[in-house]
Amino acid sequence: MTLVADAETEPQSVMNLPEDKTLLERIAAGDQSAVSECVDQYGGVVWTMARRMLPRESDAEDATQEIFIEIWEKANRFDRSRGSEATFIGVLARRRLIDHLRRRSSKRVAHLADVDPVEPNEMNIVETADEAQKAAQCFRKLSDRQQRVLSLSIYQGATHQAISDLLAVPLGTVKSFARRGLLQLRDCMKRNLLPGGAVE
Amino acid sequence: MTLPESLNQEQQELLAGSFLNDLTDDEANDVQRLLAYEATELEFDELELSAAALHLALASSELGELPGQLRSKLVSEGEQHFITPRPRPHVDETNRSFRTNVMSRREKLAWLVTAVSCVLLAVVLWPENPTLELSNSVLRQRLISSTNDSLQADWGAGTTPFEENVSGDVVWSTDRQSGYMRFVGMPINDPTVEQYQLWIIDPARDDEPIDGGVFDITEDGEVIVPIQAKLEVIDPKAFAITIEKPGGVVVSTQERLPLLASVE
Repeated sequence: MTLVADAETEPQSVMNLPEDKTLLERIAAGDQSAVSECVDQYGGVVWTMARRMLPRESDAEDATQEIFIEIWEKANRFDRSRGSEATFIGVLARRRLIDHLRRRSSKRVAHLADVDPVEPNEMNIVETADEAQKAAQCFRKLSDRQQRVLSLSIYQGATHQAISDLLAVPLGTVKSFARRGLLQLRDCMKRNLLPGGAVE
Repeated sequence: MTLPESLNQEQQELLAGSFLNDLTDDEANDVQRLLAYEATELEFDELELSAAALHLALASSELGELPGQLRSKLVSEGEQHFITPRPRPHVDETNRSFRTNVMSRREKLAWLVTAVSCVLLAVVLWPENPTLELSNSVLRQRLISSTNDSLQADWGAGTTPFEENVSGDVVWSTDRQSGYMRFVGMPINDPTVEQYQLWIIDPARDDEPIDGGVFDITEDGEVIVPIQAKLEVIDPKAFAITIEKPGGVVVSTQERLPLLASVE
Protein backbone atom coordinates (compact mmCIF):
# COMPACT_ATOMS: atom_id res chain seq x y z
CA MET A 1 0.00 0.00 0.00
CA THR A 2 2.98 2.29 -0.41
CA LEU A 3 1.91 5.39 -2.22
CA VAL A 4 4.81 7.22 -3.68
CA ALA A 5 7.72 6.81 -5.99
CA ASP A 6 11.35 7.53 -5.35
CA ALA A 7 11.81 11.19 -4.50
CA GLU A 8 14.38 11.51 -7.25
CA THR A 9 12.02 10.54 -10.02
CA GLU A 10 12.35 13.19 -12.67
CA PRO A 11 9.14 15.05 -13.32
CA GLN A 12 7.62 13.74 -16.52
CA SER A 13 7.36 15.97 -19.52
CA VAL A 14 3.85 17.19 -20.20
CA MET A 15 4.17 15.72 -23.69
CA ASN A 16 4.91 12.26 -22.36
CA LEU A 17 2.11 11.99 -19.82
CA PRO A 18 -0.78 9.64 -20.43
CA GLU A 19 -4.10 11.14 -21.42
CA ASP A 20 -5.68 10.40 -18.05
CA LYS A 21 -2.92 12.00 -16.05
CA THR A 22 -3.78 12.91 -12.50
CA LEU A 23 -3.64 16.40 -11.06
CA LEU A 24 -0.46 15.69 -9.11
CA GLU A 25 1.22 14.25 -12.20
CA ARG A 26 0.30 17.39 -14.10
CA ILE A 27 1.65 19.58 -11.30
CA ALA A 28 4.87 17.58 -11.17
CA ALA A 29 5.18 18.02 -14.93
CA GLY A 30 4.85 21.78 -14.65
CA ASP A 31 1.24 22.21 -15.72
CA GLN A 32 0.29 25.37 -13.84
CA SER A 33 -3.38 25.06 -14.73
CA ALA A 34 -3.60 21.98 -12.52
CA VAL A 35 -3.05 24.10 -9.40
CA SER A 36 -6.51 25.63 -9.22
CA GLU A 37 -8.08 22.31 -10.21
CA CYS A 38 -6.21 20.60 -7.40
CA VAL A 39 -7.34 23.23 -4.90
CA ASP A 40 -10.93 22.88 -6.10
CA GLN A 41 -10.79 19.08 -6.03
CA TYR A 42 -9.18 18.63 -2.63
CA GLY A 43 -9.48 22.00 -0.87
CA GLY A 44 -12.85 21.14 0.63
CA VAL A 45 -11.81 17.85 2.15
CA VAL A 46 -8.51 19.22 3.47
CA TRP A 47 -10.35 22.20 4.95
CA THR A 48 -12.92 19.90 6.56
CA MET A 49 -10.16 17.78 8.09
CA ALA A 50 -8.43 20.88 9.42
CA ARG A 51 -11.58 22.46 10.84
CA ARG A 52 -12.56 19.29 12.68
CA MET A 53 -9.16 18.84 14.28
CA LEU A 54 -8.26 22.48 15.00
CA PRO A 55 -10.92 24.49 16.83
CA ARG A 56 -9.49 27.89 15.93
CA GLU A 57 -10.30 28.93 12.38
CA SER A 58 -6.97 30.75 11.97
CA ASP A 59 -5.12 27.55 12.93
CA ALA A 60 -7.12 25.59 10.37
CA GLU A 61 -6.25 28.19 7.72
CA ASP A 62 -2.55 28.00 8.57
CA ALA A 63 -2.62 24.22 8.49
CA THR A 64 -4.45 24.15 5.17
CA GLN A 65 -1.86 26.48 3.65
CA GLU A 66 0.98 24.36 4.99
CA ILE A 67 -0.64 21.20 3.64
CA PHE A 68 -0.94 22.62 0.15
CA ILE A 69 2.65 23.91 0.24
CA GLU A 70 3.67 20.34 0.93
CA ILE A 71 1.42 19.03 -1.84
CA TRP A 72 3.17 21.30 -4.36
CA GLU A 73 6.57 20.25 -3.04
CA LYS A 74 5.89 16.53 -3.08
CA ALA A 75 3.69 16.15 -6.14
CA ASN A 76 6.54 14.42 -7.96
CA ARG A 77 6.63 11.67 -5.36
CA PHE A 78 3.11 10.52 -6.15
CA ASP A 79 2.92 7.14 -7.91
CA ARG A 80 -0.56 6.17 -9.08
CA SER A 81 0.37 2.49 -9.17
CA ARG A 82 0.70 2.55 -5.40
CA GLY A 83 -2.49 4.26 -4.37
CA SER A 84 -4.92 7.01 -5.16
CA GLU A 85 -4.07 10.67 -5.38
CA ALA A 86 -6.66 11.49 -2.73
CA THR A 87 -5.08 9.13 -0.22
CA PHE A 88 -1.64 10.52 -0.96
CA ILE A 89 -2.99 13.97 -0.11
CA GLY A 90 -4.79 12.52 2.90
CA VAL A 91 -1.51 11.17 4.27
CA LEU A 92 0.22 14.54 3.88
CA ALA A 93 -2.73 16.38 5.40
CA ARG A 94 -3.09 14.05 8.33
CA ARG A 95 0.58 14.23 9.23
CA ARG A 96 0.58 18.00 9.15
CA LEU A 97 -2.57 18.19 11.28
CA ILE A 98 -1.09 15.87 13.88
CA ASP A 99 1.91 18.21 14.03
CA HIS A 100 -0.48 21.05 14.79
CA LEU A 101 -2.28 19.01 17.43
CA ARG A 102 0.98 18.17 19.15
CA ARG A 103 1.67 21.86 19.51
CA ARG A 104 -1.75 22.47 21.02
CA SER A 105 -2.50 19.26 22.87
CA SER A 106 -3.67 21.03 26.01
CA LYS A 107 -6.41 22.83 24.11
CA ARG A 108 -8.26 19.76 22.90
CA VAL A 109 -10.30 18.48 25.81
CA ALA A 110 -12.93 21.18 26.02
CA HIS A 111 -13.55 21.04 22.30
CA LEU A 112 -14.79 17.47 22.49
CA ALA A 113 -17.64 17.94 24.90
CA ASP A 114 -20.30 18.61 22.29
CA VAL A 115 -18.99 16.49 19.49
CA ASP A 116 -21.11 13.81 17.88
CA PRO A 117 -19.40 10.85 16.30
CA VAL A 118 -19.30 10.91 12.52
CA GLU A 119 -20.08 7.96 10.32
CA PRO A 120 -18.67 7.66 6.82
CA ASN A 121 -21.19 7.99 4.04
CA GLU A 122 -20.10 6.06 0.98
CA MET A 123 -22.27 8.12 -1.33
CA ASN A 124 -20.13 11.15 -0.59
CA ILE A 125 -16.78 9.52 -1.13
CA VAL A 126 -17.40 7.90 -4.49
CA GLU A 127 -15.31 10.60 -6.12
CA THR A 128 -12.68 10.67 -3.43
CA ALA A 129 -10.63 7.52 -3.34
CA ASP A 130 -10.88 3.76 -3.60
CA GLU A 131 -8.96 3.45 -0.36
CA ALA A 132 -11.41 5.75 1.42
CA GLN A 133 -14.33 3.67 0.10
CA LYS A 134 -12.70 0.56 1.38
CA ALA A 135 -11.91 2.21 4.71
CA ALA A 136 -15.57 3.20 5.11
CA GLN A 137 -16.70 -0.35 4.45
CA CYS A 138 -14.14 -1.84 6.81
CA PHE A 139 -14.93 0.78 9.46
CA ARG A 140 -18.49 -0.54 9.68
CA LYS A 141 -17.20 -4.00 10.50
CA LEU A 142 -15.64 -2.72 13.72
CA SER A 143 -17.58 -2.76 16.97
CA ASP A 144 -19.65 0.32 17.80
CA ARG A 145 -17.26 1.30 20.54
CA GLN A 146 -14.22 0.89 18.30
CA GLN A 147 -15.93 3.03 15.66
CA ARG A 148 -16.65 5.74 18.21
CA VAL A 149 -13.13 5.75 19.60
CA LEU A 150 -11.49 5.73 16.17
CA SER A 151 -13.77 8.46 14.88
CA LEU A 152 -12.94 10.68 17.84
CA SER A 153 -9.24 9.90 17.64
CA ILE A 154 -8.63 9.99 13.90
CA TYR A 155 -11.18 12.53 12.76
CA GLN A 156 -11.54 14.85 15.73
CA GLY A 157 -7.91 14.49 16.77
CA ALA A 158 -8.96 13.83 20.37
CA THR A 159 -6.36 12.65 22.82
CA HIS A 160 -7.07 9.27 24.30
CA GLN A 161 -7.32 10.87 27.73
CA ALA A 162 -10.05 13.17 26.41
CA ILE A 163 -11.89 10.22 24.88
CA SER A 164 -11.55 8.36 28.15
CA ASP A 165 -13.13 11.29 29.99
CA LEU A 166 -15.86 11.76 27.41
CA LEU A 167 -16.90 8.12 27.22
CA ALA A 168 -16.17 7.30 30.86
CA VAL A 169 -13.97 4.42 29.78
CA PRO A 170 -10.54 3.67 31.32
CA LEU A 171 -7.62 5.15 29.41
CA GLY A 172 -6.02 1.75 28.82
CA THR A 173 -9.23 0.48 27.27
CA VAL A 174 -9.45 3.48 24.95
CA LYS A 175 -5.87 2.90 23.81
CA SER A 176 -6.55 -0.75 23.12
CA PHE A 177 -9.77 -0.02 21.23
CA ALA A 178 -8.06 2.58 19.10
CA ARG A 179 -4.86 0.70 18.34
CA ARG A 180 -6.53 -2.66 17.72
CA GLY A 181 -9.26 -0.96 15.74
CA LEU A 182 -6.71 0.61 13.43
CA LEU A 183 -4.94 -2.73 13.01
CA GLN A 184 -8.25 -4.44 12.18
CA LEU A 185 -9.06 -1.69 9.70
CA ARG A 186 -5.65 -2.16 8.07
CA ASP A 187 -6.09 -5.94 7.88
CA CYS A 188 -9.56 -5.58 6.40
CA MET A 189 -8.36 -3.08 3.81
CA LYS A 190 -5.64 -5.48 2.69
CA ARG A 191 -8.28 -8.04 1.78
CA ASN A 192 -10.32 -7.74 -1.38
CA LEU A 193 -13.78 -6.37 -0.96
CA LEU A 194 -16.74 -7.91 -2.72
CA PRO A 195 -19.63 -5.89 -4.20
CA GLY A 196 -21.83 -4.47 -1.48
CA GLY A 197 -18.97 -4.11 0.95
CA ALA A 198 -18.57 -7.76 1.95
CA VAL A 199 -15.02 -8.83 2.59
CA GLU A 200 -13.48 -11.90 1.06
CA MET B 1 12.95 -5.30 22.21
CA THR B 2 14.14 -7.99 19.80
CA LEU B 3 14.92 -7.46 16.14
CA PRO B 4 11.65 -8.04 14.30
CA GLU B 5 11.50 -10.41 11.32
CA SER B 6 7.82 -9.62 11.45
CA LEU B 7 6.13 -7.64 14.15
CA ASN B 8 4.26 -9.31 16.97
CA GLN B 9 0.86 -8.03 18.12
CA GLU B 10 2.30 -5.81 20.81
CA GLN B 11 4.76 -4.21 18.41
CA GLN B 12 2.04 -3.69 15.82
CA GLU B 13 -0.17 -2.00 18.39
CA LEU B 14 2.73 0.21 19.32
CA LEU B 15 3.19 1.21 15.70
CA ALA B 16 -0.55 1.86 15.37
CA GLY B 17 -0.26 4.26 18.30
CA SER B 18 2.08 6.40 16.18
CA PHE B 19 -0.81 7.33 13.93
CA LEU B 20 -3.22 7.90 16.79
CA ASN B 21 -0.87 10.40 18.41
CA ASP B 22 -1.01 8.57 21.72
CA LEU B 23 2.54 7.33 22.33
CA THR B 24 4.23 7.89 25.65
CA ASP B 25 7.88 8.98 25.55
CA ASP B 26 9.00 5.42 26.25
CA GLU B 27 6.75 4.04 23.54
CA ALA B 28 8.05 6.63 21.07
CA ASN B 29 11.57 5.44 21.84
CA ASP B 30 10.48 1.85 21.18
CA VAL B 31 8.97 2.87 17.85
CA GLN B 32 12.22 4.62 16.96
CA ARG B 33 14.07 1.38 17.56
CA LEU B 34 11.52 -0.56 15.51
CA LEU B 35 11.93 1.85 12.63
CA ALA B 36 15.57 0.97 12.41
CA TYR B 37 14.50 -2.20 10.65
CA GLU B 38 13.34 -2.32 7.08
CA ALA B 39 10.62 -4.88 7.88
CA THR B 40 8.84 -2.27 9.96
CA GLU B 41 8.52 0.23 7.17
CA LEU B 42 5.83 -1.62 5.25
CA GLU B 43 3.74 -1.92 8.41
CA PHE B 44 4.31 1.77 9.10
CA ASP B 45 3.19 2.75 5.60
CA GLU B 46 0.13 0.50 5.64
CA LEU B 47 -1.06 1.82 8.98
CA GLU B 48 -0.55 5.41 7.95
CA LEU B 49 -2.47 4.85 4.73
CA SER B 50 -5.31 3.12 6.58
CA ALA B 51 -5.61 5.99 9.06
CA ALA B 52 -5.51 8.55 6.24
CA ALA B 53 -8.10 6.65 4.19
CA LEU B 54 -10.48 6.51 7.14
CA HIS B 55 -9.86 10.17 7.86
CA LEU B 56 -10.76 11.01 4.26
CA ALA B 57 -13.88 8.86 4.42
CA LEU B 58 -15.07 10.55 7.62
CA ALA B 59 -14.29 14.05 6.33
CA SER B 60 -16.09 13.33 3.06
CA SER B 61 -19.24 12.63 5.03
CA GLU B 62 -19.62 16.25 6.07
CA LEU B 63 -17.63 18.03 3.41
CA GLY B 64 -17.25 21.76 4.06
CA GLU B 65 -16.64 24.47 1.50
CA LEU B 66 -13.22 26.07 1.31
CA PRO B 67 -13.51 29.82 2.15
CA GLY B 68 -13.05 31.94 -0.98
CA GLN B 69 -10.20 34.03 0.40
CA LEU B 70 -8.28 30.97 1.49
CA ARG B 71 -8.84 29.36 -1.90
CA SER B 72 -7.29 32.42 -3.56
CA LYS B 73 -4.27 32.23 -1.28
CA LEU B 74 -3.77 28.54 -1.99
CA VAL B 75 -3.97 29.04 -5.73
CA SER B 76 -1.55 32.02 -5.66
CA GLU B 77 0.83 30.06 -3.50
CA GLY B 78 0.65 27.06 -5.82
CA GLU B 79 1.19 29.14 -8.93
CA GLN B 80 4.27 30.73 -7.35
CA HIS B 81 5.65 27.24 -7.15
CA PHE B 82 6.14 27.30 -10.92
CA ILE B 83 7.70 30.73 -11.27
CA THR B 84 11.16 30.26 -9.81
CA PRO B 85 13.23 27.22 -10.87
CA ARG B 86 13.80 24.99 -7.88
CA PRO B 87 16.85 22.81 -7.29
CA ARG B 88 16.57 19.06 -7.15
CA PRO B 89 16.11 17.62 -3.67
CA HIS B 90 19.33 16.66 -1.94
CA VAL B 91 19.92 12.94 -2.23
CA ASP B 92 21.44 10.94 0.57
CA GLU B 93 22.71 7.81 -1.17
CA THR B 94 22.88 5.86 2.07
CA ASN B 95 19.11 6.11 2.38
CA ARG B 96 18.34 5.49 -1.26
CA SER B 97 16.76 2.06 -0.88
CA PHE B 98 14.33 3.32 1.75
CA ARG B 99 13.14 6.41 -0.05
CA THR B 100 10.04 4.83 -1.49
CA ASN B 101 7.40 6.56 0.52
CA VAL B 102 6.04 9.97 1.39
CA MET B 103 8.61 9.97 4.17
CA SER B 104 12.10 8.56 4.27
CA ARG B 105 13.05 6.62 7.36
CA ARG B 106 14.88 9.61 8.73
CA GLU B 107 11.84 11.74 8.11
CA LYS B 108 9.61 9.25 9.89
CA LEU B 109 11.87 9.31 12.89
CA ALA B 110 11.94 13.08 12.89
CA TRP B 111 8.17 13.23 12.67
CA LEU B 112 7.70 10.78 15.47
CA VAL B 113 10.22 12.24 17.82
CA THR B 114 10.31 15.96 17.29
CA ALA B 115 6.90 16.58 15.76
CA VAL B 116 8.46 18.88 13.22
CA SER B 117 7.46 18.61 9.60
CA CYS B 118 8.55 15.69 7.48
CA VAL B 119 10.41 17.85 5.02
CA LEU B 120 13.73 18.03 6.81
CA LEU B 121 15.55 16.40 3.90
CA ALA B 122 13.83 18.29 1.15
CA VAL B 123 16.03 21.18 0.11
CA VAL B 124 13.67 23.51 -1.64
CA LEU B 125 14.19 27.18 -2.28
CA TRP B 126 10.87 28.93 -2.25
CA PRO B 127 10.42 32.21 -4.04
CA GLU B 128 9.83 35.17 -1.82
CA ASN B 129 6.56 36.81 -2.73
CA PRO B 130 5.71 39.98 -0.86
CA THR B 131 2.28 40.12 -2.44
CA LEU B 132 1.10 37.06 -0.59
CA GLU B 133 -0.14 37.52 2.94
CA LEU B 134 1.38 34.49 4.56
CA SER B 135 1.07 33.90 8.26
CA ASN B 136 4.14 33.64 10.46
CA SER B 137 3.30 29.98 10.91
CA VAL B 138 3.56 29.36 7.17
CA LEU B 139 6.67 31.52 6.83
CA ARG B 140 8.31 29.62 9.70
CA GLN B 141 7.48 26.34 7.99
CA ARG B 142 8.93 27.63 4.74
CA LEU B 143 12.16 28.63 6.46
CA ILE B 144 12.53 25.14 7.94
CA SER B 145 11.83 23.40 4.65
CA SER B 146 13.87 25.68 2.44
CA THR B 147 17.16 25.93 4.30
CA ASN B 148 19.95 23.50 5.06
CA ASP B 149 21.24 25.31 8.09
CA SER B 150 18.12 26.09 10.09
CA LEU B 151 18.52 25.27 13.76
CA GLN B 152 15.77 24.64 16.23
CA ALA B 153 16.03 25.08 20.02
CA ASP B 154 13.30 24.57 22.60
CA TRP B 155 12.48 27.20 25.17
CA GLY B 156 13.39 26.29 28.73
CA ALA B 157 13.23 28.13 32.02
CA GLY B 158 15.51 31.15 32.36
CA THR B 159 16.87 32.69 35.54
CA THR B 160 13.44 34.07 36.51
CA PRO B 161 10.93 31.60 35.05
CA PHE B 162 7.24 32.30 34.45
CA GLU B 163 4.84 30.82 36.98
CA GLU B 164 2.95 29.23 34.07
CA ASN B 165 4.38 26.51 31.89
CA VAL B 166 5.54 28.13 28.65
CA SER B 167 6.80 26.01 25.78
CA GLY B 168 7.79 26.54 22.17
CA ASP B 169 10.98 26.92 20.24
CA VAL B 170 13.24 29.12 18.16
CA VAL B 171 13.99 28.47 14.52
CA TRP B 172 16.94 30.35 13.02
CA SER B 173 18.76 30.28 9.70
CA THR B 174 22.13 32.03 9.68
CA ASP B 175 22.28 31.82 5.89
CA ARG B 176 19.02 33.73 5.62
CA GLN B 177 19.61 35.83 8.76
CA SER B 178 16.01 35.05 9.55
CA GLY B 179 14.12 33.17 12.20
CA TYR B 180 10.96 32.77 14.24
CA MET B 181 10.11 32.36 17.90
CA ARG B 182 7.16 30.12 18.75
CA PHE B 183 5.53 30.41 22.16
CA VAL B 184 2.72 28.37 23.68
CA GLY B 185 1.13 29.69 26.86
CA MET B 186 3.24 32.85 27.08
CA PRO B 187 1.63 35.50 29.34
CA ILE B 188 0.00 38.39 27.51
CA ASN B 189 1.87 41.63 28.27
CA ASP B 190 0.62 45.19 28.58
CA PRO B 191 2.86 47.08 26.14
CA THR B 192 2.32 50.35 27.99
CA VAL B 193 3.93 48.80 31.06
CA GLU B 194 6.51 46.31 29.76
CA GLN B 195 7.53 44.43 26.63
CA TYR B 196 9.39 41.28 25.79
CA GLN B 197 12.83 41.50 24.16
CA LEU B 198 14.85 38.78 22.46
CA TRP B 199 18.62 38.52 22.87
CA ILE B 200 20.83 36.32 20.70
CA ILE B 201 23.96 35.03 22.40
CA ASP B 202 26.66 34.74 19.74
CA PRO B 203 30.20 34.49 21.17
CA ALA B 204 31.60 34.22 17.64
CA ARG B 205 30.53 37.80 17.10
CA ASP B 206 30.74 39.55 20.43
CA ASP B 207 30.60 39.08 24.17
CA GLU B 208 27.51 41.25 24.26
CA PRO B 209 24.24 39.60 23.16
CA ILE B 210 22.61 40.82 19.95
CA ASP B 211 19.28 42.61 20.22
CA GLY B 212 16.71 40.35 18.53
CA GLY B 213 13.82 42.78 18.70
CA VAL B 214 11.05 43.92 21.03
CA PHE B 215 7.67 42.22 20.81
CA ASP B 216 4.33 41.73 22.50
CA ILE B 217 2.19 38.69 23.20
CA THR B 218 -1.37 39.61 22.39
CA GLU B 219 -3.24 36.30 22.54
CA ASP B 220 -3.44 32.97 24.34
CA GLY B 221 -2.28 29.72 22.83
CA GLU B 222 0.40 29.52 20.20
CA VAL B 223 2.03 32.74 19.02
CA ILE B 224 4.77 32.95 16.39
CA VAL B 225 6.96 36.07 16.27
CA PRO B 226 9.60 36.87 13.63
CA ILE B 227 13.12 37.59 14.89
CA GLN B 228 14.44 41.08 14.12
CA ALA B 229 18.19 40.77 14.68
CA LYS B 230 19.81 44.20 14.76
CA LEU B 231 23.27 42.87 13.83
CA GLU B 232 24.52 40.03 11.69
CA VAL B 233 24.38 36.72 13.56
CA ILE B 234 27.35 34.40 12.96
CA ASP B 235 27.01 31.33 15.18
CA PRO B 236 24.26 31.64 17.79
CA LYS B 237 24.63 29.53 20.92
CA ALA B 238 21.51 30.59 22.82
CA PHE B 239 18.43 32.79 22.69
CA ALA B 240 17.09 34.58 25.76
CA ILE B 241 13.88 36.50 26.47
CA THR B 242 13.93 39.38 28.92
CA ILE B 243 11.14 41.62 30.14
CA GLU B 244 11.97 45.30 29.67
CA LYS B 245 10.41 48.72 29.77
CA PRO B 246 8.27 49.74 26.73
CA GLY B 247 10.48 50.10 23.67
CA GLY B 248 13.14 47.78 25.03
CA VAL B 249 16.69 48.58 26.07
CA VAL B 250 20.10 48.75 24.40
CA VAL B 251 21.81 46.78 27.16
CA SER B 252 19.76 44.53 29.41
CA THR B 253 20.41 44.06 33.10
CA GLN B 254 18.79 40.62 32.67
CA GLU B 255 16.92 41.23 35.89
CA ARG B 256 13.91 39.39 34.48
CA LEU B 257 14.88 36.57 32.12
CA PRO B 258 12.03 34.05 32.00
CA LEU B 259 12.98 31.98 28.93
CA LEU B 260 16.19 30.59 27.51
CA ALA B 261 16.78 28.34 24.50
CA SER B 262 20.21 26.76 24.22
CA VAL B 263 21.51 25.52 20.90
CA GLU B 264 22.90 22.02 21.28
